[in-house]
Amino acid sequence: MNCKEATRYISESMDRPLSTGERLRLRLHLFLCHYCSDFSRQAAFLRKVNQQKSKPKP
Amino acid sequence: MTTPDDRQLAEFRDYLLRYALYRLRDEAAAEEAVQDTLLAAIQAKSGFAAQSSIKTWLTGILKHKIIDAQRKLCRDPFQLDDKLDDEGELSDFDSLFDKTGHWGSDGPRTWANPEAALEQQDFWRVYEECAQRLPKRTALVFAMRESLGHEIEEICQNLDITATNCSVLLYRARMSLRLCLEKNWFGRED
Repeated sequence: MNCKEATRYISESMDRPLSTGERLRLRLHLFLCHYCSDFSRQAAFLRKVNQQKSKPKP
Repeated sequence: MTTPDDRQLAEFRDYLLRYALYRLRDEAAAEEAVQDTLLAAIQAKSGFAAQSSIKTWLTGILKHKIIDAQRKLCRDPFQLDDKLDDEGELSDFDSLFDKTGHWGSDGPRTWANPEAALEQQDFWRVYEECAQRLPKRTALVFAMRESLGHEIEEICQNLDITATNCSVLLYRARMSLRLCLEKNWFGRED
């Protein structure tokens, strides 16, 4: 799995359950790649931004 | 209980517009959905059930108009600045990766304390600007998924697109927004 594929899987994992194989390969990639680990955290942060956007602003 | 008059209905216009804009991410489409809703409400006042509030009744009509508008936005050939093919092949972001498909020199950086950004009004302004830059259909699908929390099946069904197309659009939105925020907020040298 390269980074381009990993980012696709990270995105898809937020919308559907990955298969066991996909999940394991992604986990291994994330363990080895700090770029994709950051990408994964940032995609999760985008979700948080949008959920907070639905609530009244501070 | 009397039926509401036209003026009473119009008082909810601003509320309905915000409701529609949030779901459609497109001002013209939101405006049209609200006008259609008020028109339908004026024509069907007798359909107003006294046990529900006017607001609930209008919102119920608007929800249907929004689904129609979402479908229309998704099909309008002038809106298709975000092309799709059935294989879900993506070349849009190739420049970010090297020949082997790994991040090039410009890979993601670690964002320092992103949670703190949520407390800053400037961050929300930058985020809105980034979101505005998304192609309309991409923005629509992303809002349905992330702001409204719809499941993929629901989005596919409402917009009449495939699950692959849906996941391509969501990927594009996440890649673009992440890049935009990194350039304009988290990567700033100050």
